[in-house]
Amino acid sequence: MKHDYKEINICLAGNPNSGKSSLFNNLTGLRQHVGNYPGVTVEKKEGSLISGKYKINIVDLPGIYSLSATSEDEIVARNFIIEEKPDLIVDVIDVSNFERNLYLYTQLSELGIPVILVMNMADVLKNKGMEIDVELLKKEYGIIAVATVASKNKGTDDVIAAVIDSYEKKYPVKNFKTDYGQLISCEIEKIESIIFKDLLLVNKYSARYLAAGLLKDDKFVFDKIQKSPVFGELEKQVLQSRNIITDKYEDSIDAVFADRSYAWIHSVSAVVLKTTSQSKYDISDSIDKIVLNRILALPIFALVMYTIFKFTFTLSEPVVRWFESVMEFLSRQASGIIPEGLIHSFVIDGLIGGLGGVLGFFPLILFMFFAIAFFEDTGYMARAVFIMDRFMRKFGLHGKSFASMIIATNGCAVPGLMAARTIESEKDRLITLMVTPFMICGAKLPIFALFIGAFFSAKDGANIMFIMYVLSVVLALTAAWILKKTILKGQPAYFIMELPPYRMPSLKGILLKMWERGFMYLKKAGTVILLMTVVIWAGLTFPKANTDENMSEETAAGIQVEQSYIGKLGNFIEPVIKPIGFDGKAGIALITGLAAKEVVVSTLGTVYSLGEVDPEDTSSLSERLQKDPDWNQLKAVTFLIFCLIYLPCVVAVAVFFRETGSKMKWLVFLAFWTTAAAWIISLIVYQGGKLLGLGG
Amino acid sequence: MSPLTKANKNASLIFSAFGNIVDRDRQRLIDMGLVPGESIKILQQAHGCVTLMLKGSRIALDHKTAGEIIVREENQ
Repeated sequence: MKHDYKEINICLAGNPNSGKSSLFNNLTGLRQHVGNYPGVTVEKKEGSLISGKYKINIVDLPGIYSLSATSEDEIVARNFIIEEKPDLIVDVIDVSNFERNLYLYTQLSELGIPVILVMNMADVLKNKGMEIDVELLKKEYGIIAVATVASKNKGTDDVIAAVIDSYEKKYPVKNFKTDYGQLISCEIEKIESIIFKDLLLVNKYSARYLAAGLLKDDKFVFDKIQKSPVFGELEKQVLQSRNIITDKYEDSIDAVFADRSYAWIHSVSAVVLKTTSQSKYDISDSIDKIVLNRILALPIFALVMYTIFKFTFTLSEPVVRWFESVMEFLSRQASGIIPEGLIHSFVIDGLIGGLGGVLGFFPLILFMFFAIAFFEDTGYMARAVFIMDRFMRKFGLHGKSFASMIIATNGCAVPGLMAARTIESEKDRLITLMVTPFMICGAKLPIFALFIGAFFSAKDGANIMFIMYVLSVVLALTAAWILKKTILKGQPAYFIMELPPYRMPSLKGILLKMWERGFMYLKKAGTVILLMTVVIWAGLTFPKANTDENMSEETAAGIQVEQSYIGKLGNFIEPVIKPIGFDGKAGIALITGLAAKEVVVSTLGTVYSLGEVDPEDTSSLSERLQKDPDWNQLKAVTFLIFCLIYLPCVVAVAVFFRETGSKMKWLVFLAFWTTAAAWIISLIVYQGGKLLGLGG
Repeated sequence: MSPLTKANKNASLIFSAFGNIVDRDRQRLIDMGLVPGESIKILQQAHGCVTLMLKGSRIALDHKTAGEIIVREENQ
């Protein structure tokens, strides 16, 4: 049945931590999806709701403090508001922090687009012993305001009603202007009068916004008027007006504007905010005294990280096993239906094998995202980033780089790389993207387990594993330091971050966040890994080798691998990897490992004539490797070091490419830098070890 | 007047001016409400890094940024 809804396009804007996402979830429920803004890596959260004869389309914008955007996500939010021109802007503010949050409103309200002020966290304000007079705010200042407690889904219907009423122009429209004082207002009007001469410009943008932007030397606004016929006249007037303002206030223009805006906000606050009772004790400061304590901060941080990993790996285990059994069941069912042959091999080894690999990893990722979302929503993660900033800075990294590295360690490089988005400085972000793949992700663990189990005693094995973890961190930090001193020179960006108050997270919020991130991982990783698994299957299956019917299945599989395209490629690269102690078989495993690192183990299993090998069950392959005279302890350690450093898997590479703005030069650099570093360090270890008589 | 890193932690402080700080970060701090005359309160100082209360928000700053924020004590 076709409905003729009236469509209303709105966006949710507001400061970070104002509860925008909670309101978005309340408004849209599960009718939401996450995409990307064109050309950038910032996520675009969209959703919709139906109310009577209206369909409200909602975009949840990244958090911003003002329209003077600096980081990539802020630029996206600013551009969306200015260029896309939604029917309405819903400005969500944390009313318990009324003055700071209202600053953005002063800018949004000058864009010529109706703004609804959603005063969220009214309960927190009450706990502070205060109340806001919403009616007075409407009456005195003409602000369309609604009070909500988004965490408890209170006031959501009022927001919907305000959106519809505002769209239908049921509110008396007041031409809202921030009172910047007589002098600044007069200068703005002078500039506005020139802008009004260009009708095309005025039809597209608010003259007042442009005038204020020109006075503040906003590059974004200057770009808008570059081609205007009144550009010359404007430039002259702006210069004159700026001189008048700075002469009077003896400060920078943007500071004067902010000062005047805050003065107006303070006057509004004095009228509408009322103290009703004694403020309740704020626990955040007390918690911070312990959590950010100079002695306790690091041990508490270590404990939180341990909890995240313990939670992820312990609790996800039964679900991972269940997923594996489902895939095995599917494989058995398909085996029974599809007759032996090429299609059988394609479906079982290629499709189900590849898909199973991805799905097997998915529950673990979900558990990790759940744990991380929990600590994020409590407010602790912002503190963790702050705690690590000082240490990371010594190596030219930003505190926020730490979040990427910790997510990649034992987890997955893909979400680790995606976490680098919040770093404002492009150079700091690039360095983080370059070094995050050095961490030991969950996919590298089976390789370590295989070789350490095969060549070292349990006691030595634990030491080797520990050394590998230390090595990965040392490598990442050293690489960051080298990049910062060479091609990505410069001081790390300043660290300025708002620490949200500690809050009890809601289960719904955590689950939605977990699913949103997990689904993106599943979508991207699933498609690429699946494709690569099929490519590798074809590379190992063709051309068909001449095998004898009397041969055992294992021997035939070994010959097939040797004579396949990938097998030939392994032999081709052997001269390059011989100086670091590897032969063609190891070469094949390293090539296939580019699809996913776990594939190194299963490829070695096939190459060593074992047919299909479960990456978790490596005992039999372990014995084969042990017996192979071509392998020894030195070669095993060298192989592990190479696997640790060389080019990350194809999914991580694809994400790296996207996160670096799809610039080919960085992709080429990553490929060269990781592989060259892997080869050189392996050469030093192997040849050095031989000189010392190790690995005999 | 002194940089935030050397200010008396227990005193009521008033922001006076920015030192040598890049435009982007200065703009961010202004947007957060750090304008001349604004009261700020140091919540914690550890290894030169500072957390402060500004307009009801807790802001974390690294040592270098904190060193570029010039404050005076309220009674000065």
